[in-house]
Amino acid sequence: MRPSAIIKRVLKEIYHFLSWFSRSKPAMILAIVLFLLLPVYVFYLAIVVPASSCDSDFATGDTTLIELPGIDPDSSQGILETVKAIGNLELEKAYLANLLELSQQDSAYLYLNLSDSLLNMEVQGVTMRSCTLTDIRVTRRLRCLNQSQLLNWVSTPFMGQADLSTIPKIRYVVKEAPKDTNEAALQSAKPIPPDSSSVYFTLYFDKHLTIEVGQNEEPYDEEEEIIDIYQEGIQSVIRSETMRAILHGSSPEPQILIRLQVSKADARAIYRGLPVHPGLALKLQ
Amino acid sequence: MEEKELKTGFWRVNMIRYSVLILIAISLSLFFSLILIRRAGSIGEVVVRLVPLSEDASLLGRVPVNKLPAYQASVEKDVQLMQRKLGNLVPNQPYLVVNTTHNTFRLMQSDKVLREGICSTGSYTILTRGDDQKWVFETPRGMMKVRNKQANPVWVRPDWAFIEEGLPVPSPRHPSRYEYGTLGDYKLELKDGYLIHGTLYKRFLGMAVTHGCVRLGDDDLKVVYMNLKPGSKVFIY
Repeated sequence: MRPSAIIKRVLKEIYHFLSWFSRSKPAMILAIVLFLLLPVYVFYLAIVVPASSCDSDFATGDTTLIELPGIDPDSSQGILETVKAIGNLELEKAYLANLLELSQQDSAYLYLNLSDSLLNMEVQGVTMRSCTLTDIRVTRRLRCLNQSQLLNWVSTPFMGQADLSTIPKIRYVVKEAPKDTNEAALQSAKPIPPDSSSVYFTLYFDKHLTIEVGQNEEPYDEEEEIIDIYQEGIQSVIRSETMRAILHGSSPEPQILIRLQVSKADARAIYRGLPVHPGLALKLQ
Repeated sequence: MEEKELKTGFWRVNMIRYSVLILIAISLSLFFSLILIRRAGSIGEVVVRLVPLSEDASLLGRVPVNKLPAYQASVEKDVQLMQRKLGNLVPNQPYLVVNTTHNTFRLMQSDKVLREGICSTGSYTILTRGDDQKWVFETPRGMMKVRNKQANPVWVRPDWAFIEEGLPVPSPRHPSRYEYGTLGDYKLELKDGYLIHGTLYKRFLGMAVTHGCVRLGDDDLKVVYMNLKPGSKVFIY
């Protein structure tokens, strides 16, 4: 059979199939049901449930409004203002307590102050590097947490679980000891020049917090591939978690993402200076 | 007989069509589900906007209304106390901060920078000899204290200094172990043999070239030596 005849035959079959499909009501219904079933299920589990359940996932228990019997609306408003002020103070106290707790450790930790646009790396209460944040993006999910939920969320320091990065933490060079002075003279004593590659990293903390840090500077063209691999790594983490949850018939954990931009030098110093599982104190307001 | 054959043919054709249809529908369904999973984060952000903000006055469940001012005052007091505690963590005495990534240093006193500049730190080289001997040349990180300091120090060359040059390792007190001037005018001892000292190789300042010690230029070293005392803190990151 000639290729043109095969194509003609296939097109004819497709035509017959489509004309059958357009005439057959049961076929249409079946197709629509089959087509929609899985995406609707995924949409519900991966998007609707995490969005609508963000209250319960970070809930502290009682978050209902308390009735103030016998108090007129004006003074009730005043009380609510006081409650708000106390709430802010409690948040301040929580983050200070976190900083004090982290300062007891020997290793470096992060202090992220979103209200002052600062990212500090500290050891035992002493700031080793202070970076100005040039851009901050916070996931909308944070917005749906009320004050007591926020307080519960930030009440203990965040602890790093894993990370992804475009640069290695440390790059070791292995050198075999020379056998004699001649071989030693031949071994290159030239120091390795400072690394100028682009820096992007993501820190995954407990309590569903993810912090993405990227450099302000545009990356070099030749680094496109490594940045693509890094981005794909981030996506695959999200994808695999969502997939795993859906396959288990549950909803993926709602994540809170904070995306920060700092200078390349700051990003490199912070990433290299941090231990593998860094602590984090977060100040939101 | 003919009718039966016609019926069988009809069902066979329809079964094939339905199978094709199911296959196409499931494939498209999987395709769109994967897109949804891939875009779950960004679509979720849009959906979160639709969730109404929950009001919160749970504090009133914990603290009676008439005790709110007293509670506020107590939280304020706690905050001030914690701020003081955190403030006390910063040393009043001069201290040194060393950045091993960019090979820079800052000599600080409270929040004031007394001097800053370039230094050299560990090269992250692993020297191996045979299967059983290994030396890692990296500067230790974290908080350390100056144990001792000395002017005109003599460098007692450790074993690796000979092995690295392809020389036989001499006995511990052999004269070839003692080198004068290599460490510069001053040295400050940290821990486990790690030092802050000067260098003959000034062109390498700002680079990661050392065996773990922190090397400073002559003028910087003098200022650091004058300001840091035994017990002074050195933060390396």
